[in-house]
Parts: sequence; structure tokens; C-alpha cells
Amino acid sequence: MNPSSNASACPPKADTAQPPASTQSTMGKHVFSIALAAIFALGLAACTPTPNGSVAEHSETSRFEQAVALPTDIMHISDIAYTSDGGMLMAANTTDWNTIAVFAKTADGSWEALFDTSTLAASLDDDTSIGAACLTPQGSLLCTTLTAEGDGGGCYLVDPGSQSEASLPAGRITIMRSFDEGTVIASDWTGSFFRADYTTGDTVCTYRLPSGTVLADFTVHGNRVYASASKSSSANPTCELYVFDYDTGEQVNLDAHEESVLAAAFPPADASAVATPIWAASESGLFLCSTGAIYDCSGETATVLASGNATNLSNTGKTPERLLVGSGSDDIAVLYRERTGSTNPYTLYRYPQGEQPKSTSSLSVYTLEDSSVIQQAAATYRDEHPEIAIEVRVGIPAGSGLSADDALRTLNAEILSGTGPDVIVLDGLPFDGFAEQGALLDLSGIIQDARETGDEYFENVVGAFATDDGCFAIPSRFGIPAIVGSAEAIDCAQSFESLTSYIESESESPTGTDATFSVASLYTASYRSIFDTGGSVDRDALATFFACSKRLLMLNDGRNCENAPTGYDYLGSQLDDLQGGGSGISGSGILFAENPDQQFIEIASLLSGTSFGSASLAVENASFACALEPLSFSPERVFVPSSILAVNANTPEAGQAKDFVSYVLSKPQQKQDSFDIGIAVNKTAFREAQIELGGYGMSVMGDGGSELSSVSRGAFTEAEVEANCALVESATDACVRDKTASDILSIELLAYCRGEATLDEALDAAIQKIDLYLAQ
Amino acid sequence: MSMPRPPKAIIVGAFLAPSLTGLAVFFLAPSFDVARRSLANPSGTEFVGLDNYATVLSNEAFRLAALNTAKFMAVCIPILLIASLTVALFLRKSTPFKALMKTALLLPLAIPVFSAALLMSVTFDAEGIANGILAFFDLEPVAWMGTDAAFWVLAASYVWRNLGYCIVLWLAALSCIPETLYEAARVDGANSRQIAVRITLPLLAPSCAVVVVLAIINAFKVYREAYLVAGNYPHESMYLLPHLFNNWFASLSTAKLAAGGVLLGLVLFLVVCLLFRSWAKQVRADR
Repeated sequence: MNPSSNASACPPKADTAQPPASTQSTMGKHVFSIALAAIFALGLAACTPTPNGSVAEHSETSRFEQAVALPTDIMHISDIAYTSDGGMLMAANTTDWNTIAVFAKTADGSWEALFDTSTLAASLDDDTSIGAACLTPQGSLLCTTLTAEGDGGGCYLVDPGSQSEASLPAGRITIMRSFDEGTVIASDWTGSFFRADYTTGDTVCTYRLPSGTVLADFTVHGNRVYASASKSSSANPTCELYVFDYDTGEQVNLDAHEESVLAAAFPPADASAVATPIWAASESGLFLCSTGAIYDCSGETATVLASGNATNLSNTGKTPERLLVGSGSDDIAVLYRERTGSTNPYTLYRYPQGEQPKSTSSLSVYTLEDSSVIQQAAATYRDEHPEIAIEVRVGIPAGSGLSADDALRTLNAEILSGTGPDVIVLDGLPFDGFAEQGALLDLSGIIQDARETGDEYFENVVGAFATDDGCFAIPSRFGIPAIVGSAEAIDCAQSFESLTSYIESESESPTGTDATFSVASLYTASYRSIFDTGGSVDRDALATFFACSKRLLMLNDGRNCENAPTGYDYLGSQLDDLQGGGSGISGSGILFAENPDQQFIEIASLLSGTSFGSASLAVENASFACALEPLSFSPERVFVPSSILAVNANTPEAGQAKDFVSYVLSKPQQKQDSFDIGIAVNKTAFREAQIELGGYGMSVMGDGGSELSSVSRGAFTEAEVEANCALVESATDACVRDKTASDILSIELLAYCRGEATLDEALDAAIQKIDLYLAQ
Repeated sequence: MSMPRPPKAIIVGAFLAPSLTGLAVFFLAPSFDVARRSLANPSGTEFVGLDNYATVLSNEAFRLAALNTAKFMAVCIPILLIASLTVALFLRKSTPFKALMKTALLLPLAIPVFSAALLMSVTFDAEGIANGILAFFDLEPVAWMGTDAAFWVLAASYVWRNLGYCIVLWLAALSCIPETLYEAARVDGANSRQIAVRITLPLLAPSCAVVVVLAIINAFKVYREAYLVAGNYPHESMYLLPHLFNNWFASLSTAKLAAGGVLLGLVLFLVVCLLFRSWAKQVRADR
């Protein structure tokens, strides 16, 4: 029975005289109704996402995604644009950073190099290099030069067979675009944003962004400059929109209609972790690539021209860098940059009108949280297999507010009903439950086939989930907790207690040893001592972990919060994700300590070939003798499998799904390297990538972009690569951390560190909850 | 010439068919499937007899959750019934603020569950209102959600949210008692206690079964607040069967989930049968 319906079931009869009591009752109903309405309104308001007031419409014409091949060995693309005849011009570095070549796309789809800056580069002083560059509307290349100190030098206009000196205001220019003859819009290192006459060097006008705002992209449409910028005044950077008068530089106030159209396409102000929108303009209108879609913002409403899960627009492994719009209706393209820092960092896709070519099969890949490894693999797999519609589904999309529990329930319901994804990335998911349920296919054959390709694998890692019944999951990446520090620090790192005591005592020494650490890495190193093989908790080990973590966090608390943005929660950010891989070793603290006599300890994880490079830079260039060692507080060295792939037992596309898993384990995919994506399980790929990467470097930039200090080294030698492989293989214990237990510890440790619970209370609560979890 | 009327059984069947179909498709078939899964291995491919029941009954978490749930029902439902009936009897009399009181008592039910959970958090957080009040009186703060007090916080939340609803149910039941009976009793010289014991309570007994069943159903809904305040693994004193079932589902322990569901279903079925049997007895006695 519903109280509200009960109250309205007996309305007073209109033709009957009501006694006073009834009048009171009617009043009561009114009071009741008003109160209920107010509560529902408040409740609904609390539950409804804040709308930005306008909604984009979908275009009646559908578009599909089509890869456009780029020249090989592209290192950096300075500028790219459609030409008036539907062709493309691109200015890019290929062979070296000082040679920018201008390419034209020919009718057969290939790229023809028209001219380059090699002659200009040869004429420059040895300590001068070419900096930013852009194409002019006439097809010339305008480029700036930089001195070794990072100061802006000259400016040149390069054409086929000729070059002439131009002029720009002093300063180190980072972004440059030319929209009309004779002027260029440029942004310098400090973020200022101006239009200058490159024939005279005079500033025509300045487009002023608020302090703390960093320009991301801009275009010119009509007589206006539309710019998107990111602002990091709070813990999460936000995207902001600015519009200026092209001629005067005055900020333009949009009318309500314009604001509404752009608001429909622009990310909401409270959105975080989204790519900053990018702009393009043509005679037909103003376009925006934002929030996983391309919008035409020139009509009465914002119109979605292209979007979709099965395109790179929603691929979080790629950042849309340039939106290109030409004069033809099919001339819309997006230039993407890989987030993972691959050796082929750019990809270009067109979005012509028409339907996507029919696919013969489909493949869905599920990952609880977004994974650049999986997104990257899916994107290249899609390019290589256009006949397969591959879709990456993220259980908890960034900014969705969904809990892991909600996502897991949805996934489980799909698996039980037989409609689950084909490939499941098991990171954060209950592997045992899936395996016991018979929900996963045996992938032993994939490992066998992979070995037969001739590639070597880190056997301890790929077989981490192999049992007598089969191998129902294969990790494609992994990490190893590690420490970089002096021999004394490494000696003390046999236990968490002695390491903490050492750091505390050394921090008070005259030279003041400093330390950076990832609690997730320390947790991984402690995991085997905290949990026994059955998952039960050792109270003493947990007490040590809690107490030592707090001591280290308190040691760093003040320093880390000193320059933090408003709202930054140091403890929360450190303890938010014990289950995560932690941060990759960077070596920057060791290399660039403020006091040269100061020693430094870095505790993080080896998460890629780059981690090895950073660590080697630190070891070779530190002002004190230091070394890299895996970190483990238990007898065996541990590694943490990640990007763990499994195939749904009920998938109708089992062959295709297994093929995708093999693809992720293949050498080309495994050679992808970035700071924190995990070490490749393909040993051959790991070896080759370390050598092919060519070398490592790190610099500290001062105000104005000048380089204060830098270190570099060449590629790893064969012997060094083998030493790195040996270090990796010395980690033999697969530490598959239980997400539920980790989450429980994370909450209780945070409460303890914040002083909301004593150590005993935090331990009691953690152990009680984990016991309850295990008892299930 | 009139058409011959179809047999009555066909007409009845035609009217009942849609609801019976719905019942079969959406209730009976899933229930049978759950029962089948409770007798099968986790992948549902092999008959394992009563193994899953044995596993569930020997499962410590199940025993704890079942015990807590039973304790929660045993404590909360009598308190709720007595409190709501007392207030309903009071409201039945004409009081100056009758409408306002009705509204005030129903308000907690209208508050969205998220808001109620937020209110619980704000009140019983380590630095919440409740500890603020204790501090005002120089009393030691209590870890409300981290000790056995969590059970009583949850019980209080349940009673607070459901009191108004039960009052409405009791008021509806009270309005069905003919005024003439009270007048006759008063004419015969019965005092208030005699009227309550001899007339009001016996005539409310049939409604009591319905109120109790609804209170039990609502008691399972208290999980939402418990989950929002303390997550999947709250303090063990407030770990209820819905927590366990939700966690089993999250870990895809379908065999245990099915067996546990069947056991819970059987217990609830027995409770409801007993309640309605006592109701039927009362009705027969009244006749």
C-alpha cells in the first residue's frame, strides 16, 4: 500500500458540506503533498546529473571511420591541413628533429615529400635548432629556431628551393598556426597567445588567457578566435572555452544561443580526465572534436557528425590532436597521438559520409577500468582487420561515478545470461569466481602457439595463471616493485620496518636524505608477508605495513601539500588505489635534487622499458653511488601481472577472441612502450624495444623554457639488456593481489592515516572485514 | 438464435491466462531455475545433490548473516509494530496536530535512500552529529559504524523510515473497525483497556499478518542504506543476508547463491504460512 495513493483515494465530495475536521484534513493533505513534493524534488535534484542546458542532435547523414596511412618514421607532426582541392599538406619531422619536411598527399593516397628544412638546418649554428613550425595558407613553411639555452631565435619562411628570413616577437614559441597571409597566431612557453605579423615581427594583438590556464587548441572562424584551454586550479584540471575577436584580441561574450550550441559539444565544467576539445573551421562552419564525437557547431544546434564506441573517437589510448575539415563533404579527419608513446605516435583517420563497410564478425573486449594497452591493441587490430567490428567496453568509464561493484554486477549478469563480452581483461575482476563458474576458455594453446612463432616469453609471467586444469588467463604486461638508492638504503630494504627507520633517520641527517615512494609498490612488496597463501591476514605484518606507511606518508605530507592545488588530498591520492600498479620509476628526484649533497631514495615500480631507462640514468648520473634492486619484504621477489586476458567460454567468436589475445601477445604490440603500461611479457619484444628505442634522456626546464639541466644515455647494450632480463626473471613470485582485500585495506589505512581510527581499530576492522570476505 | 456460451472453465481460463503466463514466465520459471542451480555445480552442468546446501550451511559468513538477519527481524519488527500501533491509536483520536503528525511521520519514507544514507553518515560518522552531542556532554565518542553499535544504528534507521508506513497501515485497519462496536462497549460500561484488549486488538489481528509480512519485506530493503553507508563489508554486526548474496553474485558464486536463495525462500515461505495460518485461525474464531 502506498501512503500517497492512500491519501488521495478518498477525496472529499464536492457536493457534500464538509465538517471542520475535514477541512483540517484537506489542509493536512495539502501540507503533506507540498512536503512530499519538496522532498521528491530535492531527492531528484540530488540524483540527477547537472545538465549543461543543451543537447546535441545527431546528423541525418552517417559517417564511418577510415584509416589514412601516414609516411613511415614520423616523429612529430607540426602542422597538417586540407588543401582547397581536397588534398592534404603536412609538416613533419621524420629523420631528425632539425629536419621538417612538407608532404603532400597524392591522389593514390601516398605522401610525397615536397621540400624540407635541411638546407636551413645546415645554415644554422651548431647550437641552434628548429623549433615550432606551421604551414601558411599559401603552402609555405614558417618555422622558428631555438638556441641551446632554449631562447627563441630566428624565424624563417621556407619554400621549395628557397628560404627567407621572417620575424616574430621574442620568446620560445610552442604552437603556431597561420590563418591568413602575413600573420601567424602563436603561443609561447608562458602560455600567452598572440597574433603577429611575421614579415615585420610586430604583435598585432594578444589573446589573454587567465592565469593558470594552458592553451590546448584554437581555430579562426568568421572574425573570431575559438580556443580551448585546460585549467588546473583544483585537484582535477578542467576544460574551458574562450572566444576572442580576431583583430583586436578582445574577449567576446557569446550570446545565449551561441553559448548553448557550444555548451552542448564542450565537456561540462565538472568533467575531468577528458581530452581537451580541439577545433577546426572551414567556410561551411565551425567544428569541434570533443567528448568522443565530432560536432558541427555552426547551426541552430550542435550536430554530432561522427561518434561511436567502435571508432577511435572513444579510444582513450589516443588523444585527438588536430581536427581537419576541408571544403568537401567527406573532408573531415582527426589526427591522433598515441598516449602510450609508441614509436609510431600518430594515426590519421577520415570520417567520410556513408555506412561503415559491413563486418563479417564482431568482437567485444571488456575492461573494468580503461586500459591504454587494450585500447591501443584494439585500435591497431581494427585497422588490420576492418572486417571485424571490435569494440572496447569500459566497465567504469572515467568520470562516470560508477562503482566497481555496479560494473561487476552488470558484467556478471551478462556472463550468466550468455551475452557477456568475448574477451575479458581480468584486472580487478574475480578470476577464481570466473574460473570456477567455467566462464573462461582454456588458453594453453595460445601460449604454445606464441612460443612457436620463435619469440621468447617471460615464462614465469605468462604461466602465472596456469594450473593442472589449463591456463584460463594470460597476463600481457607486468610490473615489479623496485627501489633505487644507495647500497645502505638497499640493505635496509629487506624489511619495511628497517627501510622506514632508515628513511626517517636519514631525513634528519645534515644532508637530509629524501625519498619518494608509491604506497602501491610498498603494498606489493609487503603482500606476501601480509597474506598467506589462503588469503588469511598476518596481523603483525599488517600492523607493520599500516604503521610504516603512515610514518612515511607523514614524513612527506607537508612537502607534497606545500604547492598542491586547492582541494588536493595527498593521503587520499596516495592510498586511493593500493591495487594499482603504482608509479613507474622516474629517477628525477635522484638526478635533480636541489642540494647536490642530498641523497635520494625512490621506491616505485618497474613498469616498462622506460622505467629501466630512467633507473639507469639515475644510477649512472647520481651524485652518490646508487643502484636499482627489486623490492620485496618476503623471501621471493614478486611481480604483479597486469592486462590479464581471458576469453569468455560462451562466446560465439571464440576463434576471433583467441586471435585477439594472440595479437596482444605478439611482438609488434608488445614492443609498445610507455612510462607505466607494464613490462612486456614477450621477452623478444622487450629486448628489441630496449635497443631500438635508441636512448634515454631527461631534462629540467626552467621558467621561459630554458633547459637548466639534462642527462642522457644511449640505447641499452646487449649485455645491459640481458642484465635487465635477468633482473626481471629474478622475480618469480606472481603477486595476484585480491582487489576486495586491497580495497578494504585501502579504506582502513586511510582512516588510520587521517587519525580517524587508532592502529588497533584500523587493524581490527580490516581483519574482521577480510575474514568475513574469506568466509564467504 | 443465440450463440452457445462457452463453458465457464474456458472463460475463467481465458481471463486467468495472461496473469498465469506472466507468473510462470517471470516467477515460476526463474524460481525453478534457481532451485535447479542449487543442485548443480557452479557451471550448472553437473548434478551435485545437496552439496551446495551443505556448503552454504557450513559457511561461516552465511551463518553470521543469517543470524544477524534473524536478530534484526526479531528486534526491529516487534519494536516497529508496537511503536507504530501505539502512534496509530494515538492519531486515531482527534488531536490538534493530527495532520501535521501524520505528515511528519511519513516524511522519512519519502526521503530518497541516498539522502537517508547520507543522513546516517553525517550523524554517525566518527566526527558526526551523534559524537558531537556526546562531546557536548563530555562523553567519550563512539565508533558507531565500527562496533556492535552499528547494528543498533541500522535498526534505528529501519524503524525511523518505516514507522510512518506502518502507522498508515494500522490506521487503515483501525478505520475498518465499526464505530458501533466501540459505542456498544461503552454503553456496556467497558473501560479503555477493556475496549483495546477485547475489541481493538482482536479485530486488528488479521491486519497484523499483512503488516508483519510487509515489515519483513521492508527489513530486507534496509540493506540499501547499510551498503551505501558501509559498503560490501560493513561491521560484522550489520552484515545481513543481502550483503552476502550481493557479494556471492559479485564473485560469481552462483551455486552458493542459488542454494542460499532457496533456503531463504523456504524460511520466508514458512514464516508467511505461519502468519496467515494464525490469521485464518483468528478469522474463524471471530466468526
